Amino acid sequence: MKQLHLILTFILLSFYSCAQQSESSVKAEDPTTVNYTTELVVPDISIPWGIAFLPDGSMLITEKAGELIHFKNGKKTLIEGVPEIYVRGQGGFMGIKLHPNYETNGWIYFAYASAEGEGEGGNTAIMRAKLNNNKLTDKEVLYKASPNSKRGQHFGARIEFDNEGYLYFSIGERGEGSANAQDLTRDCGKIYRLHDDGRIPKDNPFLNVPNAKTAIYTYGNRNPQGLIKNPYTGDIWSHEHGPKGGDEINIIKKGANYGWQIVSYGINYNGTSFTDITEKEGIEPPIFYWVPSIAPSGMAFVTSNKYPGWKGNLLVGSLKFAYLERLVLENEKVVKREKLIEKTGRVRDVVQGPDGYIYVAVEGKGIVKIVPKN
Amino acid sequence: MKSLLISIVVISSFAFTSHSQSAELKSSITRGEEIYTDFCVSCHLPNGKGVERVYPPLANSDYLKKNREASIKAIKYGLEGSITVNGKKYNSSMAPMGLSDDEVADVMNYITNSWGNKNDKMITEAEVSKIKK
Repeated sequence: MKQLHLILTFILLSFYSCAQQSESSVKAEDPTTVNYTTELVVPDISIPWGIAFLPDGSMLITEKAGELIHFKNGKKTLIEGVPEIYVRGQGGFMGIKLHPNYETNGWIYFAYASAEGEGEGGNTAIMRAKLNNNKLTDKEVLYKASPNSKRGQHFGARIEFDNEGYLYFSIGERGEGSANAQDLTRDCGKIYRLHDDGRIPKDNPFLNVPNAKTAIYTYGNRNPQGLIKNPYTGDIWSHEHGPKGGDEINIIKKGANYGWQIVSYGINYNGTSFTDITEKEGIEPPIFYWVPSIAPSGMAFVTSNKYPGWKGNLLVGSLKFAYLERLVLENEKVVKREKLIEKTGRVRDVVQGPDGYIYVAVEGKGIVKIVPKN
Repeated sequence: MKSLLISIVVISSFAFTSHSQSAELKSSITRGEEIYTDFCVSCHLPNGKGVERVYPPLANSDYLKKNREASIKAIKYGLEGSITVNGKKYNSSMAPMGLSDDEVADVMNYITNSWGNKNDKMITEAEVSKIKK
């Protein structure tokens, strides 16, 4: 009996034994020299999820549990009138972005988990509002993914604008894999594109697909928590969490399928595999993949001259390894990776401020500024 | 004779209670495993071992074993600040997961009875509801 048990265990083990994964082509290096220090500019925030700078240099920070913090002249003020947030699992108060013409129109865009609408639980919503006397006014919900779900995973939710003023946002697949990500008639597992007021652009890619959600711009996305315009090309870049291994950087192309969960460089958390293929015709390959996963969150291009040798580099936060990653690009390929501010804490977001300095949102800490050494 | 009867009744009711308790515990653990897979696994991993220095282990965790109330509180309201688990310091933060009290009880019963952990004293919804911030 015992022997049978052993044999069965062995057979099961061999079924489940770790699928082979090929590691990232470029490995993260420790820095050879460190030319910067860090300064904690906004202390005491549990989960600073997103940062946006106002024209006066002050900062708006979303805190996952549902607060909007305005940091000005060394003081934190809580903004009133924030949307009602569904706080569960990975969902809460998330992305924030100013309209490119904020100075003339005053619009601020938010992504958050909301319990409104069909079904029990919640799902990602996009709202725009204006800030008047420490209060959000003129609130308009531009999009709400449905149906709601009680699952804890994959809400997205980053927001970006391109050079033509289109609004892009990401919503993760809510733990449903291909069932959401590969189905154009269902929300979630997508990157969306709208006009800044929520209207569907007439040239969105899936207007002619019966019953499709017409705000969809790309699909087959797992959980993108980085979405940013490449200031050099004008393209929208995203990164997304893979499962165990297989985080990706993608350049967002109209109507493209990014493959989740048909192709992946990742495997299940328990080591079993769900696909044997990493590429397929009709599926847009990533420009870079991370194996092992770093759990990427937040993304910024360095365009300032504040940091010698960093201009044109991409910065990506790592939740899992608690550092900021600097990726050197050549012809839109990653050629070098370096670990910055190691052991800082889980990095949620990174932005280049209007002053050209890099600001990093760190869980359990707050907002950290990277200060170059002279 | 009478005393024998009483003891039979007492013993069998004990047996019944403990049996129903263990059946209850079992189904709570099963529900807890689903919660774990949904909310916890990406950081604490399927084997409960976590990631050294970032996510503390739950498997054979002295913290979990000795701090029942603090563990429930951490799942219910989130955890911030430094804790020491199996001799190693962890100074990350865990967000409140938004779980209801019965879900917190279920996932506690799962993690305290998995990967070599053992806990006979079942955690109930009532116990979780009494724990305040």
